[in-house]
Amino acid sequence: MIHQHTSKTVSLSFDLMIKRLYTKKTRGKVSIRVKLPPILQQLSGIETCEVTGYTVGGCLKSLEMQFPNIKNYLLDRQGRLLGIFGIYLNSEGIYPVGLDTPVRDNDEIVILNFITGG
Amino acid sequence: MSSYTGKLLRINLSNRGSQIEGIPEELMKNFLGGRGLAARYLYSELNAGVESLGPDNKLLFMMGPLGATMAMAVSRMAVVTKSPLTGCIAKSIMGGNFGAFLKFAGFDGIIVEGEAEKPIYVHIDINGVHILDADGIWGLDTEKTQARLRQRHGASTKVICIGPAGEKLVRYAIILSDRRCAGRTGVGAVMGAKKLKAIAVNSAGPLSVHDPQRFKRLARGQIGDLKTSPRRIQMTNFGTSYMTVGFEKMGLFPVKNFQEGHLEAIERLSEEEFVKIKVKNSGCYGCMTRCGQERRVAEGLYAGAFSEGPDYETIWALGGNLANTDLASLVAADSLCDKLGIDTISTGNAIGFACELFERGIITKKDTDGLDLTWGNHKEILKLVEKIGRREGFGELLGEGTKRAAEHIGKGAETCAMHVKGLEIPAYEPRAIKGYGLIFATSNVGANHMYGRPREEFAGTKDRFADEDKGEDIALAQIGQAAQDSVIQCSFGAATGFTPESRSELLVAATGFNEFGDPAYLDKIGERIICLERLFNVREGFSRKDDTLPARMLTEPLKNAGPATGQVIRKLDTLLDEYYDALGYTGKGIPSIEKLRQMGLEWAIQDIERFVK
Repeated sequence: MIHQHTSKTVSLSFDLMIKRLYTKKTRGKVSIRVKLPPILQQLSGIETCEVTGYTVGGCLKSLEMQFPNIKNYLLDRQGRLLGIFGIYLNSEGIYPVGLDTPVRDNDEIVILNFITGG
Repeated sequence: MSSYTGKLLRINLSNRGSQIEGIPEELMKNFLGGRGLAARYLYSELNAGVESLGPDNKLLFMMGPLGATMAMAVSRMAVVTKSPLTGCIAKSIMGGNFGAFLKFAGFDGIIVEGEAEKPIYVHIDINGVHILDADGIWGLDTEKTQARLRQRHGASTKVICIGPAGEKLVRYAIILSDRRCAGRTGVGAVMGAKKLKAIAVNSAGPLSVHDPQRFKRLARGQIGDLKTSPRRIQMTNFGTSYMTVGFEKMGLFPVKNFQEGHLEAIERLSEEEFVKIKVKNSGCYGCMTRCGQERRVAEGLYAGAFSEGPDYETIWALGGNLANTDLASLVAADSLCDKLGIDTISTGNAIGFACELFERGIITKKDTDGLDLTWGNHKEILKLVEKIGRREGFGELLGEGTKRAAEHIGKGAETCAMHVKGLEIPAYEPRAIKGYGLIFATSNVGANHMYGRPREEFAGTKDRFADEDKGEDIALAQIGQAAQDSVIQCSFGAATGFTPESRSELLVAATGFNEFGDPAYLDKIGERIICLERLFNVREGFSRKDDTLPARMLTEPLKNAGPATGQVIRKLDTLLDEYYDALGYTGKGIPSIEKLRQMGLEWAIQDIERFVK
């Protein structure tokens, strides 16, 4: 049950998903802060940045447009968010099922990497 | 009352006898359970120099104090013995259901000693311990063996068993239960050498805990945390397959037997592709994560292939490492390895070794029984897996492990053998995360990814490319893993929902031992365990000279690995010095006498005094 839902969500092309999210426009576009995990800080050269969007997914798209180098490490070659990263909105984990979560002023998005054993 | 049963089952296969003995409380408090307790028994009962595949070696199965309780992700079982691959102490931790039911039968663990005259299996039920002839199951694969024993003893029977590979002493044979295995270090070959095909248990006894109400409250808290944990959700949805593509981007994913770090078309092995053939989840006793991914191939050459996997390690071993991006072939190969009973990591590593030798012309089709071992040739890979598992032709040589195979082949083959102390390196490029390089080099069981993890280097809070300043972190990582393997807690990090404090609270509520309430006490147990494991190896003649990595890691800059391109482990000696300093070992890599006293291991001083001087 869970995997079917997730599969549908995650396998959506990142760009297409963001396009759909942008079309919702149910609330005002806001500016919020995104904090990158250290592993992405090393690769991108930035620690935090301001982005704009209506939803978490929209903010990530904004991040990608501002810092194209991040795209190389955050997304796979099909433009999907890599599985090793998790997205948190104000300390609440929201990925993989909530990229369409609306954002408000002063929210903070934190990207963490999921790395386990096995 | 305590969650320990306090009892150990000792089975002597030579005289077909068994006895039940108590576990001294002091041992529980000093070694906790699982890996630690098993290492303590093995060290005390085994003489140095014992032949690993002979009757004097012992095979231990040990549960932890939280096993079989309502806590999540703790019902795992440690398998410990002397390894036929390395000659070192061996440890492998397995999931599944068998361990929990062993505790329900009244035992924290089993020590198997001696060697049967002819193939046998052991059945444990309310009437006692029965040593029975293995007629009718010897020679069967692991799937059929389990099915046959369930037919014979009832559908609820829990089984651990070996496959044809264990029977034929493939040095990296596994022990399997359902589709979960003790996969590394060749524990299945030891079981095969004892002619022990399986252990089956039927049990329904109650298990108590010291403080039931407090324990229930804590365990429910863990369940609540896990329900909403994104990491747990990720594990449920994808298992460890989600790591593949990201790791390749980071340069962590070894390709073509560690020759480079880039795999063309790696997206074919992404978690999204595996989800397309997923049937359902499966999991271990008492775990809601259910990270197992049951997959079935619907069409094509491998139509019908079914496996609980492959996981990240196997996706690498039989996929990326061999430049094989045929996803369906991975399911088939994973299933074949499980049925034959061989470790997918060592198998894939050994085949990668053979492919590189083939590429370099060191071996030809004359050596490989006509197999064309060009990279990515999945049809031939499957044939070679079968040969290894059945020890046939060229497979017989590879079944000895890459170290022995390279020594046999000569002609420079040693430079292509990617192992540490004889254990094949798993799915992490040491040059791209040098803390892992140090873990592999110093691990007392050989190159094992479950001997501690450089978490800060993965997270990026420590520089993974730095040549120095890693020894203390890695010592702490190994200490933490040893404690974890003794609880026994699943290694999927935050996916278990534990903090050091919550784990300690659960242990106190379960056992009544207040000492466990201090996380630092558990760390000291972890340190004691790796110290004792090292003593085992020192007694066998191991020292600093063996704490090393293949020359490739130390001299050849990593190629084509994204941000890790050009990396090489330049200062292994410096890292070793840091590591030994952190643990109180001498420059030879041997625990000092003072350290043994600090660890409460004075009784072992006489065994190693001559090595310290």
